[in-house]
Amino acid sequence: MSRARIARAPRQGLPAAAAPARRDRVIAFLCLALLATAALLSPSSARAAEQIAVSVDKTDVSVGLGEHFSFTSTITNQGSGPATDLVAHLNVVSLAKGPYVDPEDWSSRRTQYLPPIPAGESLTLDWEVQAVNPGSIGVYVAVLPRDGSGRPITGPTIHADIAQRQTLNSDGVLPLALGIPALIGLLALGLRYERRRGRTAEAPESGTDRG
Amino acid sequence: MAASEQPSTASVPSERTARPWALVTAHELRDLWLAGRGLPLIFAFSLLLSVITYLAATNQALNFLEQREAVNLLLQVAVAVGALLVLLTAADSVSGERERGTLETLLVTPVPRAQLMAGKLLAALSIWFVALAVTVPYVWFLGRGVGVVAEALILGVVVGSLLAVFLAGLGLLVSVLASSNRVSLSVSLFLLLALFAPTQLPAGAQKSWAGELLLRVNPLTGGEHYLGQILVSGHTWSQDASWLVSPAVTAVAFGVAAIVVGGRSMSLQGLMSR
Repeated sequence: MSRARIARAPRQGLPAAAAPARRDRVIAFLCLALLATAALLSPSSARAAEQIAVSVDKTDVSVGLGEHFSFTSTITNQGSGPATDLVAHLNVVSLAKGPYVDPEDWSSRRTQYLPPIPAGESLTLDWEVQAVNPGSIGVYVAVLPRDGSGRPITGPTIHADIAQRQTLNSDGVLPLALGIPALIGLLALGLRYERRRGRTAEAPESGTDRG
Repeated sequence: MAASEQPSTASVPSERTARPWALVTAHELRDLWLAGRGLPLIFAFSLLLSVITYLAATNQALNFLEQREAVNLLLQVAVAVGALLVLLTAADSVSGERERGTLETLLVTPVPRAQLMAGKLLAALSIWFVALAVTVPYVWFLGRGVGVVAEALILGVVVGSLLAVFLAGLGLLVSVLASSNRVSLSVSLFLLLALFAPTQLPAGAQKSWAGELLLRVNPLTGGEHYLGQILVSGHTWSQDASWLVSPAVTAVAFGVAAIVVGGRSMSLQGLMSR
């Protein structure tokens, strides 16, 4: 307590108008220092992600169900330093309410870990997709920092119009599906009948022999 | 070989000149296809393929697949179920005779035990080749127009035959060792289910090094993976040939073991009862 008093004693001697001005300068300086420290301490990948732009080579795709299509996304580093520790992820979503879309079915390789991108340079990524659900589907690529900080940067949505289609001509399936088991069944029954007839033919003969 | 299926007098001259294993095979084939359950099993097999083909061709939910995938689905089922039929036939071949009381007759015939086992092995394999012949029209129906029929059938012959030899050998060994037919069939089915178990692993686990090793070491999963890679992914035959190592090695090992070890161990009582 006595120390506090001693520390405050010289301030009592300052002019009344100079004290608030000095306090404001100190607060402003502290705020600036805080912002600078926060900027320096924040993860570089998060800053890098915010300087990233994602584009795609097409925004509309029309394919039939079951068909494959591919597209290229370009990740551009618009910042002044290299963009490191980023990951790109492919997402698929049904734009119409109703059908459930499982992105796992659409592409077996949906995540790509990116090498460092120098300032002002770009990286292209190829994506292979198979249309598994019919309807209006949105496909997009998101790039986010690997340390989980910051927010993902997404590219434009590719609108995929997937047409329902019958991949197989089902004409003639019924004769095949019924015919082959019927043939084998008839063969089995015929053999069984022959065996029984053979046994009944042998029975009287053996009876005569015994007699 | 059942006692009722002894060779007729008319066939004796030709049988005298034939090799013992060929005689045993002929008798076993007669037992299986004329008097046994070969045809009922193949009838059930054809019904299963009919249902799959019908659904793949007409059902909207299944019809999203590419034709290659439909052929792959059918061929994988044909190989798996064909292998099951071979295993069941082989598992019944010695323990079944033991229970029916016909094994003693067979053991006193002047035929080397190894040749007896070879004959039984070939007869058990016959069910796979008949199953494959039944599969041909279904594969043709699903694969016509995309040039995949011949490739699928050759793959079926190669992969399916390797797996059939492996499972025939395994079934024969279990049948020789089992104390009863029930034990033989139960153990064989359990082993088959255990071999199929890795297919139920989550996708993530299958992609790990341990999961992939398990899939590669297991002849059933290795063979089925190879089929899929060529038929669906369009890989070349040599690209994934390493997946065929396990089916090939186990086919040779179990085929030879069934003939040599099985022949030596064949007795009126199974080894498991001793």
